[in-house]
Formats: sequence, structure tokens, C-alpha cells
Amino acid sequence: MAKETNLTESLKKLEEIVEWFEDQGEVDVEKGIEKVKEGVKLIKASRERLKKVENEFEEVKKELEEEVDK
Amino acid sequence: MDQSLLEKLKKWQADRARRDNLEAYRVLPYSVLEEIARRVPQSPEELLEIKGIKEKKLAKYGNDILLITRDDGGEEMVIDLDKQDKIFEVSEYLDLLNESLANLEARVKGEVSSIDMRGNYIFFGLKDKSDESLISCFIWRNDFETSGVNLEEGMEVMLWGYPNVYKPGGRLSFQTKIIELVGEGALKKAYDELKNKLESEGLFAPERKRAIPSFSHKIGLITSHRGAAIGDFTSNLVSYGFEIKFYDSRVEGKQAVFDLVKAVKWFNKKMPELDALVLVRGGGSLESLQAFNTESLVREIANSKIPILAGIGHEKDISLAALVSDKMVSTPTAAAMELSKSWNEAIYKVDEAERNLLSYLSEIFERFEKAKNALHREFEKIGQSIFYGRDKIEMAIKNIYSSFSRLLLNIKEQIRIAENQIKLSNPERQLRLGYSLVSIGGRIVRRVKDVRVGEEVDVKVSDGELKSKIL
Repeated sequence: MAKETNLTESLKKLEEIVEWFEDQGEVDVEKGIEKVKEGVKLIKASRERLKKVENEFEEVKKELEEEVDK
Repeated sequence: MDQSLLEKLKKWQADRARRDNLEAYRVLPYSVLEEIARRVPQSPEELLEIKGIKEKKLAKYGNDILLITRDDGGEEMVIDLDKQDKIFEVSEYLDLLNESLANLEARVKGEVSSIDMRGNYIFFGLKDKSDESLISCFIWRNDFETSGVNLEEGMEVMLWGYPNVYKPGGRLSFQTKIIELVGEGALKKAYDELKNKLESEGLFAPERKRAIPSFSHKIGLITSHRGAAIGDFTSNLVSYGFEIKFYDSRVEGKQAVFDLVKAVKWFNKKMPELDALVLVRGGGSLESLQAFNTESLVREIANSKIPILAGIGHEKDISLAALVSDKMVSTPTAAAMELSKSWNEAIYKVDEAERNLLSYLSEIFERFEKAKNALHREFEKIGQSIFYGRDKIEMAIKNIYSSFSRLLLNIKEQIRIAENQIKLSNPERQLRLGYSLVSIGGRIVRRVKDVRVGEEVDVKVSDGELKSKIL
């Protein structure tokens, strides 16, 4: 779950950074570069999770199904 | 453990599974077979002591199993039907009879009569529509409730089960596993009634629905391993490392309701950490989708702690199982797309954020560039002014120089004029003109009274001095 929370988090943070830029009339150069750096880190991390990974398929073992009824 | 007995049991399990069109473990799980082989039960009571065998299994398979275990115990117990002279005890014979009857599993259609509800089971009769033929029926309340068909005298139903003689009473009854309605009309009516009932309970209300979490990837998949739905779903799912836990369930006809209810229960109990459950099957008629319109399944879905995504096809009426699900789409393919959505969107969002950041970054650089250029221009200006300044100084120096030299010339001229004037006014010059200068004791003699008689005066002429005496 951690991974997915991160992805959701990362996307949220990215949006916030973009919004920050949108809200600034004149961007403070130092702060702006700091934000871009942070954004690049987030983009990199998100891309890592968004790599194509083979899906796993497994049929569950239902041997104990009788006990589920109880 | 008796290995040869275990082998016999396994062979029986496989045969029975094939005959009943079930997976082997559904007949009896392997662990139960092992336990039987270990304990070699010789009576129904002993068989019931084995974990995993309850009344239902005993009624269905007890005779089969005991025949195998008794056979294993001693040759004298073999029941050989070819021996016409064999004399049976009543119980023994009923066991034999019940074993054969269990093979007569069937769907039987008729009208309901004389319903007798007891504690956890129900007796009722099923009458032929055209003549007065009657079969006594029995159903456990659990199965009755799972069926979700309310029995009323005179209503037409279809039963699925097998005949069995109740040994203490000696009566034959139809062991009913499930009750179905007959005909699209009745199905439609039942569908509408159940839909209204559940709707008025608020079971389909939007506020009950939970979101299928973004980036769901641990999925419990409930469908049949046969049929196109499973392929449609898995092949349309994007490859982002989904972990699909597949629960093979029947999906066709009313009987499927047992599997479906169990599957939802099973996942909630065994894998509560799943992100979502996905319930899919292709479209079908009301009759083939009966299980999905069964109250027990609808309620099970409503009770699920794991959010459920339904991709159940339908012809006209949306199945009630789909209506109660947290999210419904119309096909298994659409269910896969639904789960892929947040992942695809994330890719897009990341790309977009990157584009935005790059443009902001280049904006910053542009400002840098502008500042740099402005600075350049300032420098140029300074350079230019320095250049012009030098010129000016040079010019000034030149000016100063020229005016200075002019001044010098002037001075020189004035000096020359002055010299001339000085020259002109030089008294000695007068002497040369014939004038003479008389002085006495160094003083110029200007008047007669400046001298007295007898005094000596110096007379300066152009080429010398004359000492003279005043007479």
C-alpha cells in the first residue's frame, strides 16, 4: 500500500508545485528553482512506480471454504 | 495412514467430481480425504466426527465413502448386487438405495403445495401441473434463504437436487439444494419486486457507495474460469503490477449464487487487505443471470467491507448485484478499463507536470537571460561613455594645449613689443641721435640750477663720457 499512497501523494505534491507557480506573478528565482528540483524528484519517483510491470494472476485456494460458512 | 485407501478415496473423489461437474476439492477437500484414510471410519457417526464432514456431505457422499472404508476393512462387507441371494438389513439396504438415488440429481418443475416451515429446515410438496403427481421435498433453511424465492402454495418453481430416503422415517423426499422461478415473466416479476424492496431499503443509494480506490492493484476477481469474461478482463488490464487473486465461481443459472456468495465472503474473510473485488460475467437473459438477481448475493455484496466493482453484462434489466455494487460498468472489459484509469491518468498527470515545470524553469532562465542581456547593455553603455570620455579629455587636452600655445605666442609678442618699446625709449638711443645726458654725482641734470659753477659734471654721449667743468 505504501507504494500507492506515495503515488497519490506524489501526484498531489506535483499539482501543488504547479499551482504554486501559477499563483506567483513574478517567480522568486531561488524558490522557483527549489520547487522545480522538488518536482523533478517527484516526477522521477512517480515514473518509477508507473513502469510497466507484469500483472500476477493466481487462483486462490479454497480448501477451507466449509469454514467460511460458520 | 492407509496409503492404498487414500488412493482409492482420491480416485473416488475424481470420479465423483467429474460426474457432478464440480472441481475435486468441492466434493471433499484433500485434507478431509487424508483424515478419512487415517481414521478409516466404519459408520456414519464416525464419519461425522471428521472435521469437514457435516450432514450435507454425509447425506451426499457418506455411503460412497463408507463403502470404500468398509471395503478396505474386510472383504465380507462387499455388497455385490449380482448376488441375488444377498439379504440386506434395512439400514444397509437404504444406504445402498440412497447411494443410487444420489446419482439421480435433477431439476424438477412443478407447483408448490403444503409448505411446512420448521426451525432450520422446510418441508413442502411439489405437484405436477397436469396430473396430481406429488413429490415430497426438503430444503435446509440456509439454502432456502440463499435461493431467495418465497414459497407460496400454487406457485410454479423449479427445484434442483436429488432424492433421498430419510432412514428413520422411511419416506422419500427430494433434497432440494435450490429453488428457482420458472419463466421470464415470473423472473421479471420477482426481479421488479426485489428491486423495489431493496431500493426502498436504500441499498442502491449513491451515498452507500464507496469509491474504488485510485491505483487499486490488489484485486479479488470473481468469475468462472470458463467463459470469455475472465479473458476479457485480464487482457484489458494495464500492466502495472496488478495482483489478481482469482476465485473460480460458477456464474450461470441460479446455482451460481452459492459460489458467488461464498466468494464474496471468502475474500472478506481471507484477504480483507484487497483494494477491490471485481465481479464479472458476460451478458445474458434474466434466467441465466438469476444468481445475480438473488437477494442473498445482493446482501452479501452490500455487506462487503472490500469495495466491489461489477462488470456484469445484461440484456435489458441491470442485475441487482451490479446495482448494489460500489461501482458498476457494463462489461468485463469496461471493468478492466475502470481499474486501469487512475494509472493511465497518472502517466498523463506526471507528463503534464513535467511540461509545466519545464516551462516555468525556462521562464526563470529567460529572466536570467534578460537580466544578463540588460547587464550587458549597461556595460556597453559604460564602455561607450568611457570611450567618449577619453575623447573628451584628449580634446580638452588638445584645446588646452592649443590655447596655451596661443597664449605663449601672445606673451612672446607682447614681450617683443615691450622690448621694442623699451628699445625705443632707451635714453642711450637719444644719445646716438646727438642728445647728451648730463649727470652730476649720478643724478641727471635737468635744470640749470641743478649745477653750480665749478662743479664737475659727467656728459654722456653715444660713445662715451666727457668730464666737463661748469664755467
